[in-house]
Amino acid sequence: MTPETVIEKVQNNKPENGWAIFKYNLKYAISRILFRGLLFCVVLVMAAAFSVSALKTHQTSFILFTLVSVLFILVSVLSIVIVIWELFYSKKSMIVLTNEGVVKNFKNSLEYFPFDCITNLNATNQYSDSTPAITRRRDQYIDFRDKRTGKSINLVKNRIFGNPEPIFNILKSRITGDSFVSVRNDFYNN
Amino acid sequence: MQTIVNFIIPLAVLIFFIIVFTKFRKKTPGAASSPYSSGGNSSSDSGDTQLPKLAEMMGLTFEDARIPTNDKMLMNSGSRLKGIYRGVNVDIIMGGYAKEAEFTPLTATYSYEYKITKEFNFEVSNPQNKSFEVILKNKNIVSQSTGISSFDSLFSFLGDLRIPDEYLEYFGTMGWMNLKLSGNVLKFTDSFFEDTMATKGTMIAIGAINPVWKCSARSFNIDYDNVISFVNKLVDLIEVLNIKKQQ
Repeated sequence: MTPETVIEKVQNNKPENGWAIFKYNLKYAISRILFRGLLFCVVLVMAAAFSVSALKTHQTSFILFTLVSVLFILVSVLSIVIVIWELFYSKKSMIVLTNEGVVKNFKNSLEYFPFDCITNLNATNQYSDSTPAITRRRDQYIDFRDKRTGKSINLVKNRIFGNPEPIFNILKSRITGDSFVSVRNDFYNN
Repeated sequence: MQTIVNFIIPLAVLIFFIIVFTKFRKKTPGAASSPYSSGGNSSSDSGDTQLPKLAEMMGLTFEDARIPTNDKMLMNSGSRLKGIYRGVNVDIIMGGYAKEAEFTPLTATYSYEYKITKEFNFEVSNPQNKSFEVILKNKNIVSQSTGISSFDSLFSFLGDLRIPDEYLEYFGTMGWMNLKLSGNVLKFTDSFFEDTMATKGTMIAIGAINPVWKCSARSFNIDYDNVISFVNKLVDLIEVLNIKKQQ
C-alpha cells in the first residue's frame, strides 16, 4: 500500500485495523497563532511608544531600537505565517503508524519510513529547571535515524500532532530489534 | 563607533554571561532522579534478592545484566532470568540505566538519558507469522471490538490471530495489559508504571499496585505466586494457540 493510499484511506474514514492515527492538532496551531500574535502586538506597541519618545532625544538609540524592533516584528510575523501555512494543509497533515511503517504528511510533504528502516529512536523531553522530571514537562521531540539514508529525522516536535508520548510509545513497540535507544531529558531555566 | 561601545558590546557581554550562568550553575537535583528508578526494575536491596529468588522458584538462571558502568552513570540495574519453563524458552529482562547525556544543548543546564527494559519474552513457533497485540485502549488506534465488554472497555485488540475469550476476560479482570505476538516471540512488556503515569499521573502511578508483581513502585515486594501464576497463564495461552516451540 502506498503512503498516498494510507492518507486517502484515513481521509475517507476507512483506516485499517491496527493503524494509529495522529491528526494535525488544530488547537495547538491556534494557540501558537494567538500567543505569537499577542507577543507581536505587545512588541509593536512598546516599540512605537519608545521610538516616539527616543526620537526627541537620542537619534542613534532611536535608529538602533527601531532596527531591533523591526527585526523582531518580522520574525514574529514570519512565525505566524508559518503556522498559517501549516493550516492550509491541516486536513491532510497527519502521522499514521500502519502495521508496516510510519507515514508522515506535513506541509504537503509526504514521507514513509518502514519500521525496519528506523533506528536510534529517541525522545527528548524538555523540562523547566529545578523541577523533578516526573512533574513538569515542557515539550517533547521524537527523532530517529533512517537506515536507508543515514539521515536523522525529526518525526514530531511538540504537540503539532497532539501529545507526542503515545506516538513514541506505539512506535517504540512496533519497531524491530533494538532500535529504541533512549529517552533524553534536558533541563532549562525558566 | 560610539554606539557600538555603548550598546552592542555591553549587550554581547551580557548575553555571554547569561549563557555562562545557564551552563555552569548548580546542577538540578531533580535531574538525577529518574521517574522510573523506583519501578519494578529497581536495583534496590529488595529487588536484588527477590529476582534471584523468583528465578530459583521458576527453575530459571539468574544473570546480572547491568551494562558497563562509568562515572556518568546515575542509575544502573539489570537482571535477566533465562531458561526453559514448562517447555518454553523464557527470557525475562528487568533493567535500565540513567546516565548523564554525552551532549547537553547550549542553553540547557543539565541533560541525562535513560532506557528502561521490563519485558518477558517467550520463544514460540509461528511459521504462519500470525500476530496479535493487546494494549490499553487508545483513541488514536483503530481496533475492532472483541465482544467481551470487560475487555473492550479497557483494551484494544489488534492483529489477525484471535485469542480465546477466556484470556480476554482474564486480561479484563487484571485491568491492564501489554502483550504482543510478533514473529517468533510472545512479548509481555511491563509498562504498567508508565501507562498509569500517563493516564492517572505520577503520584497515583507510584502507589499503584502492578497486577503482575502485586506490588507498587513505592514498595517493591514481589508476590511470587502471582508472578508465576501469570507466567503459567501465558504459557497456557501459547499451548492453546498451538504455537509452542518444540525444545
